Amino acid sequence: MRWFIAFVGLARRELLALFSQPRLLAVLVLGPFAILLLFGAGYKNETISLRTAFVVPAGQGLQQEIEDNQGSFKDYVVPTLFTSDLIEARQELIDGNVDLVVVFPPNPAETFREGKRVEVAVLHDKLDPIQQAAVDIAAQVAVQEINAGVLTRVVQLGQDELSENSTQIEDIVALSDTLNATVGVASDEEVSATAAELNDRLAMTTLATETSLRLLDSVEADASSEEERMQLRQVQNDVSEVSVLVREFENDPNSDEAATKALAINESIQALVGPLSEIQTLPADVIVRPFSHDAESIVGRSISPVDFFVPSALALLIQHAGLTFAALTLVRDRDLGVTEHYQVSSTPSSAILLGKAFAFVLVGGVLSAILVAVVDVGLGVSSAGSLLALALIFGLLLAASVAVGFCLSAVARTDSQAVQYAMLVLLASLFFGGFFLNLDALRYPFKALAWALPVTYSIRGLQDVMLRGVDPAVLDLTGLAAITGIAGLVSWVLLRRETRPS
Amino acid sequence: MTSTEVGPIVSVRGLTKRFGETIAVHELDLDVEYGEIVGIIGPSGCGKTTTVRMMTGGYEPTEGTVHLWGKNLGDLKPKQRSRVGYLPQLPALLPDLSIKENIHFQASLLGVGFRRSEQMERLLDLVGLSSDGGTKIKHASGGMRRRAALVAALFHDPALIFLDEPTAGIDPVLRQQLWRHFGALREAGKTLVITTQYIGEAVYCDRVAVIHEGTLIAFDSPKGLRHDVYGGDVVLVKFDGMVPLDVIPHLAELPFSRMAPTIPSPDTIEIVVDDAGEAIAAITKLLTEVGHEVVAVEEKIIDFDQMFVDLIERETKPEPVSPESAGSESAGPESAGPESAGPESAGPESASPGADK
Repeated sequence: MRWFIAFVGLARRELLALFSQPRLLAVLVLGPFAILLLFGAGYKNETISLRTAFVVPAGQGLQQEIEDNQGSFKDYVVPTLFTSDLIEARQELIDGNVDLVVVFPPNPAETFREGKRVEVAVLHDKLDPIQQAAVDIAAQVAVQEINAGVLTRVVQLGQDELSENSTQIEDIVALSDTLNATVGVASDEEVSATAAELNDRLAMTTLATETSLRLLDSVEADASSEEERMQLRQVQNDVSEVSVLVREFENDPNSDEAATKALAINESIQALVGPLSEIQTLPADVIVRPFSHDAESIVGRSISPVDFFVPSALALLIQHAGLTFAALTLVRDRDLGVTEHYQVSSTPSSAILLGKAFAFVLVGGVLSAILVAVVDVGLGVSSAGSLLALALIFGLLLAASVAVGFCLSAVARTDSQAVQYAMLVLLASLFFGGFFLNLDALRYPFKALAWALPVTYSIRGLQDVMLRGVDPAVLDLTGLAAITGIAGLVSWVLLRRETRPS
Repeated sequence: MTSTEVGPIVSVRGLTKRFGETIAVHELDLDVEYGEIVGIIGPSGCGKTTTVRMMTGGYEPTEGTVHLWGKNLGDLKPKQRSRVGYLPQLPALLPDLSIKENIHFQASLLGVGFRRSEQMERLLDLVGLSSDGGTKIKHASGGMRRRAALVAALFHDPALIFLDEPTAGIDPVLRQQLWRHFGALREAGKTLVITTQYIGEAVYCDRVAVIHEGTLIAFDSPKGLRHDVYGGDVVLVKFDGMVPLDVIPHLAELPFSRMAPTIPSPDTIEIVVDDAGEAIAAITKLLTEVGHEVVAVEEKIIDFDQMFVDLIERETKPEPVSPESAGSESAGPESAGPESAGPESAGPESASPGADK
């Protein structure tokens, strides 16, 4: 009975103390909501495009290439300046007129000829490592898109030779007819030149069919495309055979069989006209960029940055509130001399801690409910999961935070120390709790710190409940319960030692 | 007296407390009997509060032992400890709570049941706070806070009560009222250990422990202390004009005279005697026989403040020996003229309730 009376007395005192400070309660409720509201209102949910200066050699067509392809990277990089002067571009960067400078070497063609890739330099002035990574990705995307543009153009060239509207097939037939008609009549040089030109046209045809065939082979190996591939292979083989005949003719246009060979070539080409007209090569853009993406979340709702940060912010705020209540309480008791009363009256430490914890969890629970309601009404971030699961997570988060706060309070000597400890936990929570950085970015043994923080489990749990609409993982609930138990036990031992009569 | 009420209720032996190099309390021995009021007096910083804190378990003694009800303090069961009432020097009250709410809180720590309104009203009335129960501590005066804390300390009707400066910051009228209540508690069988800076309050105590610089320099009843300091009761003989010097040898030869008479002022002789009641009649008779008329023969009311000063001086520095008092056994007031360092009447600036009597 005595334990219960002390428990009720302590809980009542803490509740009265909290409710006698309406300003504190108002700050606890309105402060976090105002911060979330400001974030929601102020956050631009847009990809940041980098204003970019391109340093390109004059008269080499690169500027045109970039301008032609800028549509494919405009979300990341917006060309604002083309110049051949690196110093001018650097000055623009220093002056803040551009975010990025992309520098192409003076003579890329020479590098190509040497069989090497041309290295493109990227300059920026970002300090933030995350922004640095964003710059790197943006530059990479831009360069890839320029590469793809060049490649597309090459493939397109080959495919144009084969396209239905092209005169390529007619040209091949015409060249074959000319060869047949001029053999033995025209000069050897003229006949050879015709044969060489015919051979080039056939080679382009081989390239177009080859690239389409290779792409189909790599991405679609099932029976559904077998017929199409058979057709392509057949045409490719036929063209190759004709090419062999043409090369033989080209090598010896004066042989006795020259007229017979020319006739055979002509017949073979006439036989190819039908199949060549029927085959469909893949578009050049598809060959160069065979895959595009359309990301779709299985969560079943679109998650805006505000949606994403609300559970984390709630977890962080509630942890900080519970932890600060508890961190200050024993220090305050010590300052006011109440601890001496605990000693003289032999008040059980368990009654002291549980009485206070009951009050803090109760007030924290009301605070959590109000915050969940105001983010729903004010920010439109509603919980997809059950309220019971939400209450369970908040209850355990508060219990764990209060228990950790008691530990801090037991070791802190002054109010200021207690507040500093609470701020350190807040800072650790920001870096290690999964608020900004994914936990997978941390390595052990440092990652263990993340698992010692209530906020780590509660962010995951609240994201599960509020965003995914599923129950929190057992591991997260167990983690919070374990922190409550361990921290509660430690603070009980410390308080018992402090309040035991000397 | 129950069977457990045998021997001292509080027994302290060799109690010492050091804070680093500083000795706050030094080898203190003290016994408090059942049903008495023991006052612990001494100047600020002399070790009164430290002593009480060690007695209540707030401080662990560096050396020595504290026994309550014959048991070592650390071995007391919670139920026994709840029979102790304690008023700390600084009231442990929460500023944002009302006087009543603070008292309820402390009562709950002591296991007082939830029906408290009757006791609350009675005690608040006793300390003059019956209409201020709803006042928040942050809006209460220093005196109101002390009175509220006093109610909290007495709320659970403890048998042994430690009050650390209960009357500090309280007006003289209410102080007397409180001391009357402490007396009533004693009559009800409670034992009280009370510290105070008001030396004059020693008169309300059954016994007084005088502490100076952490050391117990005297522990006796107020009358016993007076005898200890001055050698006995002091009687003043006032003449209508200059003191006739020829009476001094007659007075010195009286059998109850403890030391040579002194002349604190030109018309007054001061005589230290065993018992003032007996001595006044004998002195009056003697002076009549030798043919001297006197204005008054009366006992001198000793101011405890002065007595305390004299006691401290006696303990801390060697007594200068005058030719007249050479060979005297007592270290009492010198046989000197008006500049004598002997006891004097309380000045108007005295805050001592004893002086008011």
